[in-house]
Amino acid sequence: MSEQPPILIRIDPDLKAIVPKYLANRARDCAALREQAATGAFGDAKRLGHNMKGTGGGYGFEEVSRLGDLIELASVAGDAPRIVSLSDELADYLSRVAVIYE
Amino acid sequence: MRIALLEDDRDQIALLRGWVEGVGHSLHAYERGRDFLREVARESFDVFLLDWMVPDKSGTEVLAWIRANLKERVPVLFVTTRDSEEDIVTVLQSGADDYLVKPLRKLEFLARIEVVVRRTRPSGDRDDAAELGEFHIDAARRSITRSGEAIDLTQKDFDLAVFLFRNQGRLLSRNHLFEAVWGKSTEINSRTIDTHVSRLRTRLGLAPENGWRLASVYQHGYRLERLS
Repeated sequence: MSEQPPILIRIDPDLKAIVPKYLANRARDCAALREQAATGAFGDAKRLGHNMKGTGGGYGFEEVSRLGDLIELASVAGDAPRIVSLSDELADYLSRVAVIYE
Repeated sequence: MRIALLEDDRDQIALLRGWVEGVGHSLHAYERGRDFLREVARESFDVFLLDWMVPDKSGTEVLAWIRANLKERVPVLFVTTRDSEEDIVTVLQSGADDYLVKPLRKLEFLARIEVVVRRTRPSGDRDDAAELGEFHIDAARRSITRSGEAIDLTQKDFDLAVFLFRNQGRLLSRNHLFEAVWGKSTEINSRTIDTHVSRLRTRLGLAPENGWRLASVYQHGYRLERLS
């Protein structure tokens, strides 16, 4: 994953104080999603996907919103392998994203 | 502007707080519907922002309660990820003033808030100068006259007078007045506001015989009314 090129995201400097926490929270979501998929906690996974969908674009991370939407749909379908795959995709994105405040 | 937000996602709250406080508004966020309803029943706000899905009550339930129980027509803006036409129509027909689908865009979000508030209170109450009966208020020059005669007020009394006149007819909670005049971070004794109000009554002649009433509402706040 780390060999992939960084993904540069330009973000409003006004958000500088809250973006690191936002990204850290999403990293935590990745781990939670894998556990929820393993235990069949699809309601919890749906909520995480729903919240990602709602917040990602506002922070400037459209990809988080896109993946959140797909996670929510996979959770509604009870599709555990898909949730794991999407959480891996999210983790990969988070490992590559590089924020530029301007 | 004093904004009440029903939202259970703390990342979303942090984002919206930054946006609205960045343009000088204050945001009061509640993560549970019952907490939101308790506060809006005893406080005054300029606009409500409602998420649809929160743990204990739906945004639509909260909207129904607001429209059934609050005497003041406070504008409601729904802010949710639900984007079906049916959902949007249901909420608008239930009394919401506007509907925004997440993820939000900052400038559009702020503009929509301004629009719903302006639509609800279109009286030009944010103009610098206004004629209100025998009063002429020029906020930019910080002057107030009554029947052409200048009235000297302290800085805080003037700010309080302008805020009350701009919100004529509205029941304003003490905390709302504090935030508008003294700033959110300031902590002052609740009697301070009573002292300022009492002085304004006298200095401006806000009495029924002059066609005005600056009423104290028990356990809530104040309302400036024009009687004639």
